[in-house]
Order: sequence, then C-alpha cells, then structure tokens
Amino acid sequence: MGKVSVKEWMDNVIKPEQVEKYKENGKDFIDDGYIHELLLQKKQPDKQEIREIIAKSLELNRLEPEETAALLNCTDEELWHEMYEAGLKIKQKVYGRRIVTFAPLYISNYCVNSCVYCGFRGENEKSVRHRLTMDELREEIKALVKKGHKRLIMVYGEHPTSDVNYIADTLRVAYETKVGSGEIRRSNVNAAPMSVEDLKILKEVGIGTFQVFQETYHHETYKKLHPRGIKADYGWRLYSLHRAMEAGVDDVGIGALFGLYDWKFDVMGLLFHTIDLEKHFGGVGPHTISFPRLEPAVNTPFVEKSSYKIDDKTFKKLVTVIRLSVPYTGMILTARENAQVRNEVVSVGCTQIDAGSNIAIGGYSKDDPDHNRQQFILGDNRSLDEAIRDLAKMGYITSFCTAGYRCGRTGDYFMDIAKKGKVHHLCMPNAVLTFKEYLLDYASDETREIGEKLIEQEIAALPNDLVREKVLEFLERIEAGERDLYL
Amino acid sequence: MREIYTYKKSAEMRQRIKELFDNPSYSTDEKKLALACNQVFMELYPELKVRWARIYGPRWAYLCGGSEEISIAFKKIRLNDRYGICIDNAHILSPGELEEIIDSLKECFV
Repeated sequence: MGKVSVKEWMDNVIKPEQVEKYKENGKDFIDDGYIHELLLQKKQPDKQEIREIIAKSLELNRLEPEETAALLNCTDEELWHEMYEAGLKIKQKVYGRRIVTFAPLYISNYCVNSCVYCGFRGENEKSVRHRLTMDELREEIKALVKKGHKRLIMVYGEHPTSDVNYIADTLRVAYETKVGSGEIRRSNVNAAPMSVEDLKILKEVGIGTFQVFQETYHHETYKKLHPRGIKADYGWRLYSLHRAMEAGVDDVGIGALFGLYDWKFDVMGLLFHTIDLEKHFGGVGPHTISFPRLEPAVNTPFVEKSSYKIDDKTFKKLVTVIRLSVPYTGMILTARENAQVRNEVVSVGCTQIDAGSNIAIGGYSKDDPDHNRQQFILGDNRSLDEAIRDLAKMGYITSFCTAGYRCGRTGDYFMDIAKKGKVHHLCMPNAVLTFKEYLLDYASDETREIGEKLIEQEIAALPNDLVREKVLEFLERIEAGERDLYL
Repeated sequence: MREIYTYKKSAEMRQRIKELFDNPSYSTDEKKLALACNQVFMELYPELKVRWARIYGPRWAYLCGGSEEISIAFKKIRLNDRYGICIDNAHILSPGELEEIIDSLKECFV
C-alpha cells in the first residue's frame, strides 16, 4: 500500500455514489418503522393463516414480509412443529439429503473498526494481531487439505494491510496450493465491504461467494454498536452485496449476528435484503444466508451484557422462519453453535456447515485453538471426521462438491434451478462422488463404514437409471484412483 | 455424407461467430457476445444443451444457455482464457462431430 497512512486509506474506501444509486428517494430498503409496524400488525396470527403460509413455502415461493412477520409471531407450539417439519421438507426438496461442508480460515485480524461485540475490534489490546504471510498461508492450506477440506471461507479484518490486493494474493495461493490430489476447489470470502472496482479484482481471481453480514439491520442499534471506523457507515455495508453483484460476483452471502438486537426484526431485515437484491438483479437474491449468534470473545464484556441474546429454542425458531421465508437459498449453520444445537437445527433446513474449524489465525498448521487470536470462542470443536460421522448417522451425506462453481452453474442459472427445486438433481450425485473421495482418502474406519452404507442408500435413491449407471461408473473410477469426477 | 454435413454446419457456425467478433457492439460486451453465440449455436445444433461461461481462475461464471437436465455426458471445454462452454449432453454427438465443433469454436475464440 506504499506510504499511505491508515487514516488516508480509510478516508478513501467509501464511495458514496456507489451507495446512493441504489437508494430510493435517498432512503435505503430497511424501513425500521415499517418493520416494527408489520410485527405489530401480525401480533396474533391465526392457525389457518400460518398453515397457508407454510403451504406457500412448501411450493418454494419466497414469502412476503407480512407473512414472515406472522410466522415470527406464532406462539402455538403445535404450529411450530409443523414449521420445523416444513423446513426439513423444503430443504430435502431443494437440496436433498446433503450438507455442504467447509472450513473457516482466518487470514488477518488487524482491524480499523470498533464493533463493540467483536474480539478483533481495533481497541482490544488483548487480541493478538497477526496477518498471515503467503508462506504461512500455504501451511494453513496444506493442513486443511490434509484433513480433506475442499471449500473455504477466508476471513479478513478491515485494514490497509489486508486490502483487496492482499486478499486477491491469498486467493491465488489458496487455489495454487496442492497436497497430492488434494486441493481447495472453492474459496469464499468474508471481508469488509468494497467498491465495485475492488470487487472486480476479486472476481478476476475466482472468488467463490462474497459474504458481508450486516450484523444488525436496526439503524439506531447499528450506530451504537459501530461507533467508529469505516463500518460505522450503515449504507456502505448494506449495499456491499449490490456492488458485488454489479461487479459480476454472482454468488453473494448475507447474514445477521443474532443477539445484537431483536431477533424478529433482524429476520425481517434479512428478508428485505433478499427482496432488494432480487429486485435489482433479475430475481437473483443471496446464494446463502448466515445467522450466527453472538458468542463470548476475549476482553469483550458487551457480549455478557446484551439483553437481546437468544436461547437455543428461539434460535431454532428463527432458523426455521428464515428457511420458510426464502425456501431456495442456501443456509449456513456455523461451529459457533455447539454440536447438540447443530444436530438439532441442521434438520430444520440448513444446507451448509463448517467442521473441524479452528478460527485462530494460523491455528490449523499449529493445531492450536489460541483464544487470544480468535474473534470469538467456538462452540463445536468436533473434528471434521467426527462431524461427518455424526451427520452420516443422521442420514446426511457430507458434500464437498464445488462442481457448480466450476462449470457455469452460478448466479441466475443456479437461482433459477434452486427456485424450481431442481438443485439436488444435479448436486446429489456430485455429493456422493465427493463423499466417496473423502471416505477413501481421509476418513477413519468408523466413518468410512457408516459412510459407505449411506452411499449405497443414496445410489438407490437416485432419480433414474442413466444417472445411477454414470455415478456407479465414476465411483469405480474413484476407487481406482481418479479424483474430481463430477456430472 | 454425414461428415460433409457436419463440416458445413461447423463452417457456418465459425463464420457467424467470427462476424460477431468483428462487430464491436458484440465483441465489447461479454454477455451480449455469449448470448449471440448461444443463439447461433441453438439454431445450428438445437438438440445440444450448452451453457456459456466466463472464466475467472477456477470459477466458471454463468453467462447464458443451459438446461435443467442432469448431465450424464458432461463435457467442459475451455475456448480461451476468458470463455468456456459446458455441454450437458455431449453423448448425442459422435466423437468426430464433437471435435469438429470444438475446433471451430476454439478457432473463433483464439
């Protein structure tokens, strides 16, 4: 970055015109008053209304805000059970019995922001700062590949030392680093909002999904929790994924950090975000939605004090409502949650989890969960093999598939087939093939035994004989040593 | 006879796609170019399920075309550093026909 000071760099990040162009009459798409009003209007939804909304979701239609508000206000436990069942049905209908698995890889925790709930906030002197060198990054990638990972979410703090050029370099290294036949095939990025010009640089190097979480959609709370730094600008963050789509990064991921504000409001915020992306980009909304919960972090007392923290039961409900509200979008359940919660919540419609995660900078190669280098404390510390085995016991195939991203099934093409409930026709065979690779190359004996039985079941359930024959042929070729075969 | 027919069709495709490249209103707009190429392709090979992609590193980003069918004879072809196509039903062509099409396309996308 030459001799530009941190302040000078910060002063030049935000491009107001790239925010204003998306606003209507100078206003963004989150109308706090309207959301509160909808939640009030739908305070006491009747049974029939809830059942009609569930039926609409089951037909894979996105819900309207007033419908989501009604679901959020449901107090009838019998109806909630119907919603849980519907969530699972929708997930099976769109994505099949597969869970896509990835690893989070924290690259740099230098940060110019002051998010009061975050262990990486600039003022936190107890946070040990580090930015991986390219050699260190290679070691991290190798450690992940050796465990069997094929997909990453690479995470960066907002700082001039981890600007877009650094991120692009790290993406190149991630794709170039191989261990035998093992490799990272898709690298998603969770980083600060960028300009259209910077996002085009990430597109050129083959970014997977670009994730930016709004944290909370409530304007006033957002302002309080992000008092300084670039992140203090709500609009720059809110439209970051509009800019990504404009730049041609056609898979984007939205999210909210639950526990910062009223959970119902933020579920509504996620829905309005989806609607606005669909409105501007020909019906293409977010590729994924994430819903992390606030977790303890080193020297971060805010977390203990927050009155908006939600219990496990409420968490399951909010995930269910997101599933029903946007039936065709991928949903990510992270290892912030403990294993028990994950096993429970994955069944209401989640499509992706991370596993074998270590969120300390440089933590994989050292095999050390150093809490002082972490943004927060993880809840699920199962190894990748253990998590895969547990999922298999529940009847889920772990998918490492990245075929869609590497053969033009992205953006509007993917969204179109997802909305028609046809993704699993394409992805289930590929999930089986990547699962087989994992079982052969990385799994423990116990996991392999359970996994092989599951593969047999899935092959029997494939939609037609031609596909089955092809998958069987590919499985034989994988047994014989070939890798990376897909339909 | 079939070989002559195949050659004539691929020659026509080559000529029409080259014309698109010569037209600045197409050659400067990736999406428009892909849509026009796909149109040529659909007219000449209506039975083929082809998806056009823009290549960014390992990412093949969707441009146009394609089908919702499961690919049982999937063929991924890099036309140059920027563009690629994926054929979901390549098995309906003979190896010779497929090679002819690929060679013709690559010639256009040099």
